[in-house]
Amino acid sequence: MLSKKLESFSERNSTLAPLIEQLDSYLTWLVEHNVTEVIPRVAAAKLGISEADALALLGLFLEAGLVKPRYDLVCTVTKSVLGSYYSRDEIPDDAECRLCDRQHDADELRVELVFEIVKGRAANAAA
Amino acid sequence: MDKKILAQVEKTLHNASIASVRSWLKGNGKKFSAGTRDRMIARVATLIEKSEITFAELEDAIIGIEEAGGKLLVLYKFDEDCTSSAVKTQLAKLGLTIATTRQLAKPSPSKPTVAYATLQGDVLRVKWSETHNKPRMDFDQDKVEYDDVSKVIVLVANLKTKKAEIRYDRPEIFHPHSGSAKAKDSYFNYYAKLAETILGVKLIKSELQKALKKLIEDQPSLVRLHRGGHTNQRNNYFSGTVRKGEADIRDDDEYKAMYAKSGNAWSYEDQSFYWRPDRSDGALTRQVFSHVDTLASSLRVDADCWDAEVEYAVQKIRELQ
Repeated sequence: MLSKKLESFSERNSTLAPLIEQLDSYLTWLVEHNVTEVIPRVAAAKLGISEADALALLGLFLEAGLVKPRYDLVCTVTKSVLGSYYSRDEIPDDAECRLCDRQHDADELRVELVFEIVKGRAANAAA
Repeated sequence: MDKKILAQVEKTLHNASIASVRSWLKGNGKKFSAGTRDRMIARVATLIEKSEITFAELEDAIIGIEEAGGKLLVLYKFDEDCTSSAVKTQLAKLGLTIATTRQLAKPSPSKPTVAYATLQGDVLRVKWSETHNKPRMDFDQDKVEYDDVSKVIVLVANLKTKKAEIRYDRPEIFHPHSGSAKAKDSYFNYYAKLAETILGVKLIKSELQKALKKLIEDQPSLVRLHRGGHTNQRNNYFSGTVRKGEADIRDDDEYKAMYAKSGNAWSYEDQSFYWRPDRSDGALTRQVFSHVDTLASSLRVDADCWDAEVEYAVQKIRELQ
């Protein structure tokens, strides 16, 4: 079921309403499968939309308090997440990768914006 | 054999990749399997002597190889209107005039240097070169030596379709755009900003996800998939690589099982493949390697590529976007 904010937005923007509902169902599916965050490009692949559109939709969910932005620092060699941060200022310039067994500098790291699914929603889905 | 022609060919092919020249010759119906530079020079000189190719054609091919071989292409789009007169004005402000022909880049310049700018129809093309420093250890002298390495960068922008690409040589550890080692982003950003200034637009990295999905999933496929990497809906990353030979990873039973389970929602990220000549309507004469990274909106090609092959790869990706 959509939150009040999203419901009101959907009523005002009928063209976006189906996508909002799809994303909402997708988030529910993720929570049911113990996935706690949504990656815009992965959501885009699932919904068959562009990454830019997925990001814009997630912005609406952010405003509605259903997701929370986070920055994941990713090793470009192994694709594993080396650290998660809630502010860009916290992101370090280098990081150690256990899988590679070495310290990576900025050239071997990328920062990925993900959206954590807020806990209340997770609890509702589990109930 | 005419010694003058031989000397001129030798000079023209001095820095060119022999594999690229071989590929270019093959693309022009001149099959030759020369493995050494000397034999290739002799072969090309003979072709010129027999008037089967001209010096102008050879020089143009070498320029094309310089602008294509081993490049990392970052693909962009832009939304603003951009006219040829506005571009000419902007180039003039930067002290550049429109040339009628392409030129070879200046080798090892002391600072980033423009080789030429052309505007043919709606297509703007600007080439630069610059010098990077590659450190190596001299163990006998117990010190670090620095080798100069020339890098060539090419902007290709279509003012009508609002699509652009910047072709970069891979950066070395030290380059003119940062006081510190590595920091490759400052090298890439320098030319992206310069391109924005010339075009008077904001460059937006092209989303390649849709194109890659079609390229991998549509049948008959234009490519042989060598390595596939994707993130699934549980946010886990998987990759599969053909270790040897010319197989297609999509023919692997385990790949098929994984794809059948959830392939329709995979987020394709980095894929390495070979464009198939038999599906290219005669555009390619051999399998051409490409590596597409959707996160960087980039396409990487082998060092032995030449212009037409890279243009084919970019054109196909643009068509599928």
